[in-house]
Order: sequence, then structure tokens, then C-alpha cells
Amino acid sequence: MELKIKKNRRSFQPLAGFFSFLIALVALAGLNASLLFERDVFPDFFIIKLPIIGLAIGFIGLWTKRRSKMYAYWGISLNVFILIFTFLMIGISWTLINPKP
Amino acid sequence: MRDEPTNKNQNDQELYNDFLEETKQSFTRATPFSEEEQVKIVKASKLAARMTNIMISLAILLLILPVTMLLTYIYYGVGGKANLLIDVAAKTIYVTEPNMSLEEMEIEDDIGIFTMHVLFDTYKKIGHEDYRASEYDIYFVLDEPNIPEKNYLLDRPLPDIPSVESETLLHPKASIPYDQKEEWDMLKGLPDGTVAEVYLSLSQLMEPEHLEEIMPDEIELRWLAVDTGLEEKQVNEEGIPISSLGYPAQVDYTTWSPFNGRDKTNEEVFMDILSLLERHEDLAEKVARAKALELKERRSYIVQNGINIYGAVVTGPVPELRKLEQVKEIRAMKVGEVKLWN
Repeated sequence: MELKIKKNRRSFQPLAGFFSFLIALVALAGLNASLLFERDVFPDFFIIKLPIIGLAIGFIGLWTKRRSKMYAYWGISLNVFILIFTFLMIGISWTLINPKP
Repeated sequence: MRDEPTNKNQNDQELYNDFLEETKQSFTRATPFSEEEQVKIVKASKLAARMTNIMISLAILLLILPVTMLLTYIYYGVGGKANLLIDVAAKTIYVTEPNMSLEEMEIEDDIGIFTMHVLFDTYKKIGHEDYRASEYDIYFVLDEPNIPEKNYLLDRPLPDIPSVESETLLHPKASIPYDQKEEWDMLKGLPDGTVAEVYLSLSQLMEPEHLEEIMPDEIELRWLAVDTGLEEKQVNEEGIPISSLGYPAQVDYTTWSPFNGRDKTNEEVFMDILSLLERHEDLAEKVARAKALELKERRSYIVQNGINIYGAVVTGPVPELRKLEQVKEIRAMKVGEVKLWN
């Protein structure tokens, strides 16, 4: 009975944290590819949409009780980093470096 | 007497067995999994730990590039480092390259990991039209510039590494390294339906206004070479050829040009630029063709003696340019670019 309850828990919130981490990794991989190929326009799917989804799933993962929230923390941190990266890069390159009206 | 120890041993044995049984039961209660299940749990845990290690390692690896790029953008952006480098590079062109201008709005930057390329085109006015003269690519590692890569697009560019022998604009007391007759013959041999750019060296130092007065109407003054005290020798103390310093003769009404004539005259802007370049002389010397600018010494000479010119770049129809041979204030002439009538 106890084992059964634990199995149910394992398949719910902890997986949300895991998926958040996984989404962040996919978004980071996309971001790396864009940087390596020196594309002028970053694909917004990787730098905006995926991190927002990953962030939301990460917060769901934080509600997990009596299980490790490590994946959720990693997922949230990485997704927040990608969003900050996007915001700063756009801000700096449009306003601070060689700005054009 | 012998029975007493035997009884005691039996009691101890029973106590021990009871205790062992109780411990076994409590262990079974604490770990409700069978041995097979426990093996499964250990395997799953191993897999989870391995997965965690892989994911964290992957995350750290994937963070390296974005973090370094972000740091690079912060380095160049915060405090205006990139803008300053671009500004110095662009303004160096205006004051060291005769009859060259650039479109400030077309200056591009390409930032890599702790590096930046600054890319721009320069233009020359020949007749009434601006022609793309060269493409510049200046590569910076942080704020340290490399020698720019230049691609000249016109027929008669000035030498990449200037020397006393290849100088085109000459001080009245400097010797003329090219054959004057050849140059005038070349101008005379050009068809009437062409326009040209010529480099004029004057027979005496004069104020810019005076030169404007003696120029025929059809000829446009483009760039004025200013006497800075070193032009007579043409080299610095170490014997390295110096570059002519000057400024555009005409107001450039392009909004973003420093010589747009709104707040300051071209002379004032020229002095401001010299002051800026003096603070960033290393960069200016990398961008300029001449590898010695001696800006501190030359700027103070101008401050002390005022702006006197010893040479100029002019453009106009070839028949009008030929008339310059009769102007006594002109000591030497060298033909630059030639284009069809425009």
C-alpha cells in the first residue's frame, strides 16, 4: 500500500521538475546553436516560448512534498537565465551598442 | 551447586532469542520491501543519479557560450565601450583619409566571444557623386584593435603603408616626390567629359578661406590638409612617416555626420576630434594608414598657431581642373580618381 502511494507521487510533481529541467536544456541547446551559427535573429521559440513553458512547469514541480525539488530548482534557474539573457541581449544590442534610430 | 549456573545460561539464551526475534520483526516493519524490490530501488536510484549527473553536466556545458556572450555584451555595452571604439575609428577616417567620408548609420558591429568586428564603407566624392571607396573591417579583442582589413574599391587608392616617397599632399618646404609634368600631362590627356579628384599642394601656408577664394567656381574643395608642424619633415622623431591631418572642407548635411555644421564649424569639430583621438591614440594609429600620428604634439601646434593649410583635395570637371596649372599658389598636383561625367 505504502509502495503504491509512493509510486503515484513519483509520477506527478517530481516529473514536472524533471520536465522543466529538460525543457531548459533543449532551449539552451537551441540558443547555443543560434549563437554558434551566428544568426542575426534568434528563434523566439527557443529563447522565449520554451523557457516560459519550462518556468511554469518548474513552479508546478516546486509543490512536490517530501521529494527532492532539485530538478525543479535547476529547471527554474536555467529558464530564468535564458529569459534574462534574451532581455539583456536585446536591450544592450538595441540601446547600448551602436544604437540606430 | 552445579544446577544454578545451568539455569542462568538457559535464561540468557531465551532472553537473547527474544531480543533477536524482536529486532528481526522491527527490521521487517521498517523495510517493507522484499530483497528483489530493494534491488530494483537501488537500480532505479543509480539510474536517477546518473541521469542527474548527465543533465547537470550538460547544463553547465550549455551555459558556457551564453554566459560568455552575455559577459561580452555587458563589457561592450555598459559604459559605452563599443560606441567609443566605433566613434574613434570613424572619426579617425574623417581626419586622416583625404576626401573620405562614411555613412555613420551604416556602421555595423558583429560581436563574438570577447571580440568585436566593426564594419563600414568609406565614400569619396568625385564630381558630384559619392563613390564607395573602401570596405573596412576592424577586429577588436576586448578593446585591443588589430590592423584593419581594407578592401579598396576604386582604381587609384593611396598606398596602404604611406612613405615620404608616396606622399601626395606636401608641405611648401617638403620636396615633391613625383614628376609634376607627368601629372599635368595625365590631366591634359583625360577626356573632357570626365570628372576627377586631384591632390593639391600649396606654395605657401594659407587660411582655408583664402584657398576657397582662389578656387574656380566649378571646382569643389573637398578636404583640407592642416599644417601641424611635422609636415615639413614628414616623419616623426623616430623616422616613422606621419599621416596628413585635415578635415572636410564642406558641411556634410547628413544628420549623423560630425561635420553637419549645426552646432560647430568644421574647424571646431576637427579640433574636438583631435582631442578625442589624442585620448585614444593607440586605436587611431591602428585605424589610420600612417602608424604615427603624434597627436599631442600636433594638436598643441595647431592650438598655438591656428589652422593653416598646406594642401587640399578638390574635385570637378577635368577641363576646369586643368586651369589650376595657372594658379600660382599651387605648387604641386597629383591626380587621384577619375570618373565619367556626373
